[in-house]
Amino acid sequence: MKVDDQRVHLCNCNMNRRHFLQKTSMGLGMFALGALFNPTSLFSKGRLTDNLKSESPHHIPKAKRVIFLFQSGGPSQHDLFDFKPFLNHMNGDELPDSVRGEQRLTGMSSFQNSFPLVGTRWSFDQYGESGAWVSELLPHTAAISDDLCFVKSVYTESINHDPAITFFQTGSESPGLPSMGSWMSYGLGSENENLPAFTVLISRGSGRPKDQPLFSRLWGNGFLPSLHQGVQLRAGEDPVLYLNDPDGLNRMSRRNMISALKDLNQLHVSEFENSEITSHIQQYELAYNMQTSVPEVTDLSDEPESVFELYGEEARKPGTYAANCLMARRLAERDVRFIQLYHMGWDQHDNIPRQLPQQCKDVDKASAGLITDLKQRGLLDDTLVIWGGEFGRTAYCQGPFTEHTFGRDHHPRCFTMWFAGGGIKNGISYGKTDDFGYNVIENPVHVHDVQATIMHLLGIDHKRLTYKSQGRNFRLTDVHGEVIHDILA
Amino acid sequence: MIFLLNWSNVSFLIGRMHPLLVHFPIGILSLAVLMEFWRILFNKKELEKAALFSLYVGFFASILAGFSGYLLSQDGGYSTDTLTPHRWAGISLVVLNILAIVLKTVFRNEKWSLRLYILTLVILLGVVLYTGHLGGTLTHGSDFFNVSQTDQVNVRKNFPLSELSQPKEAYLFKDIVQPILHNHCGSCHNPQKIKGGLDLSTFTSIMEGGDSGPLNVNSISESELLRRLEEPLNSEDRMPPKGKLQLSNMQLELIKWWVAEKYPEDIQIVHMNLPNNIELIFNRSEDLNHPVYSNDTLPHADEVVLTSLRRKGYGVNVIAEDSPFLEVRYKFKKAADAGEIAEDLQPVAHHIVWFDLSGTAIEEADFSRFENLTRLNLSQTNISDSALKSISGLRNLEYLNLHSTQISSEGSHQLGSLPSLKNIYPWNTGILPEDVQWLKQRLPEAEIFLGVADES
Repeated sequence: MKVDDQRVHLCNCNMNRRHFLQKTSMGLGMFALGALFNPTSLFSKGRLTDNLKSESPHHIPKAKRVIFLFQSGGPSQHDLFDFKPFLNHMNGDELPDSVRGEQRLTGMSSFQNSFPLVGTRWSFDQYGESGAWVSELLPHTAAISDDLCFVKSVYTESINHDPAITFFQTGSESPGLPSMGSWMSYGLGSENENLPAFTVLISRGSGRPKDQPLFSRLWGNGFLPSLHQGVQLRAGEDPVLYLNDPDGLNRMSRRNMISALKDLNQLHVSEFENSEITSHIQQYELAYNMQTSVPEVTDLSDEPESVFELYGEEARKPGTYAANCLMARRLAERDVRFIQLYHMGWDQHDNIPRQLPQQCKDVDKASAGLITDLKQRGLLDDTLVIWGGEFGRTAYCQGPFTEHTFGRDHHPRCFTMWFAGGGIKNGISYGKTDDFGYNVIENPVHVHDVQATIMHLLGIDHKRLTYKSQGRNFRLTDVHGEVIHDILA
Repeated sequence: MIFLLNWSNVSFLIGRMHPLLVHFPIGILSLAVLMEFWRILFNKKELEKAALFSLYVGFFASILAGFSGYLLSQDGGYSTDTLTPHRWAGISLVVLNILAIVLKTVFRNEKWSLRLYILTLVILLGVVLYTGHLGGTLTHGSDFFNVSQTDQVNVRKNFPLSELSQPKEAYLFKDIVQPILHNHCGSCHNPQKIKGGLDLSTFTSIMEGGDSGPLNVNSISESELLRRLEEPLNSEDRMPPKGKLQLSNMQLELIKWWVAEKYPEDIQIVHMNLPNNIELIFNRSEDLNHPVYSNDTLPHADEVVLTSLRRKGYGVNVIAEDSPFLEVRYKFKKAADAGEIAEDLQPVAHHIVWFDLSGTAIEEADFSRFENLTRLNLSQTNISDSALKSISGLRNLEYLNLHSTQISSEGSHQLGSLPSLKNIYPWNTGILPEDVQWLKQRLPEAEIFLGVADES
């Protein structure tokens, strides 16, 4: 590119009256004003205003809360939603170079001499008035497909699990930025002071019970005040570790202790003005409240029999995906802002015919049950439900390809997610992939677009929710992201 | 300090200082005249030197102001009808100033000088005010003082679609494009102040364009109008410039559409083909046209009332920034008392649009005073049929959640008269499938989901 010297020079000389006044009079004025507003930055010892207080939404929200059913590992879209008769037809043939293009492959299949295309082993049918294509592996999801919006053209930047999940959750492949739920908690605040605004539930998949690991930084608050980090509710005795009082400590003593601690911390706040201390005070209060609210929310004994028919018998077993879906509904009823589920085990590099049906059995009935339950309780109207993984899987076979078995590698170029509820247009399929299910050919939806859309539905302009860290303002969508208006009701 | 090296930048900078510098001669010369009169009328001798000193300082200040004004006028963009008198008034001001000084110093001992001096000062004061007025006209427009005239101009605030009762019946140029341009560009591109030679007040003047030439109807990509609007905010070419009221994305989309349609003047939106993004804007504008949320006559609720409500255990939030409307939840579910709640919320009864009492212990309640309610959640309460009577007057109610309550068939018949109802949730109540059928006949728009798991 030819550099236009004249333009560069003009840029260098870019000082006009407006800039001049801004830099001199305004600059000094603002310096003084800034000191008034933010006593920590200058000499004052005044009290720090509560910057953790939630803001009001930028526009009227369509959804008040999110349930994100994250399918960790990368579900195979070819075998679940993205039906490609042509791929079945080409079964066993080589993936044409023209389709693959410059696409990088993971180290797990790049050494393969051959990339045979593999069609799906399961039959597909169209369901509901919308005629959505769904595989026989997900009969319950198929039955509620008129309540769902399938987006078949999602694509991402990353090709491996951790960076891809991190990218989905934080908008960046590098770890350390705040998770989506933390952003929402920061932007909208909590509607229930007894429960964390961002709650995390994890379950293991039957298809690959040991993989892939998740890291707690995926629901970390990054540079946001630590009050906004996700809190994991575990299965079993202690849903939140170290929450209960030790033996011999009664609740009154605990209350006194926390009150005294609060006074001490307040002294430090007035001396050091560190917002993280304020955050800690609030966390102690929240934890104290959670000592009663968490046992209440995790106790399923008040759920009638019909609920377990809806979510499946698995829902009685704490820590299963079905139990977590039921828990998600209970948390939604209590106005928890962002409920993040992770179901692991979708990483089918080999042996899809054995593993995938088990994975589907884990999630199918419970996901559909959750939608139906939310709907009959009037919660689906203002709850956004999202189902999907960090990327898709390849159209070609990885590993042994026999009559009985095949596998698929990671595929970031396209995958399917579904959305339902608050402000989503239901009964539609959006976006298209090519006949191989390899590339997006219509209405591509980037992960940042998904994030922008989620925020839009919650009443937040993704370009306006920022936080200054290390000298610059950060956003969940970085400098990208377009709201997908076509899927909004 | 590289900018000092380049004359064109310095001249630009000094020129832009003119509106700042002009205030010195105005103030100082007025003060000089005032002191001189004061001295003569009340015989305050001590003021004599001060008045002369002020005349000197005023002289230098007017030279500086005049010089910067000359440089500013080189930028162009000002109507010569006003600029020329302003310039000559400024020059005569300096001449009168010099004359006054000369009379005061060189001819101070002549007999005739005092009268002439006083006359000069009177004229000087008049010219100072006149010059200042012309300058103000150049900057703010001639109708700046004229209240009634400002009102006559069709000024739509914020997003123009929200004020159109039937957006699609509107004319694209007259009702949408022109108000946007008027609100965001009109202060610098009007017949009085034609910055860049561009007047955006009428269709003809818009089509004539500015210094860069008329609008080219056949080439959208070369539209100077769009290019300026889409420049980055820090760019010198950006319009409206940084610091002025900016266009929203929606407004920009609408302008782009108008350009893409080749600048139509007299066409109604119903007669046009709406591209996807525009269709969406109009669909979303229904939100802004919402009979309740778009009401802008309601003042914001008193912050003191909101704070006291929060202390009492209500979750109270405005539904969106700048909106006066509130969503309210009651947190102490077991302790809820309908009468007390109604009393507490009385001061903000008209502000509440979303009301969530789910899971509380309330039985009876009178909702008729909350006339702006659009969403009401009474699920899992002890509410019964009689409470629904007060709901039947809520003309704006869209969402009504009654699941797991004592409501029966009888109560459901109260709902048939609610024209706005879109979602009703009667799961796990005494409401039967035939009641739902009955309701669906009366409210064909409404979605009523009886649920699946209520058999148990």
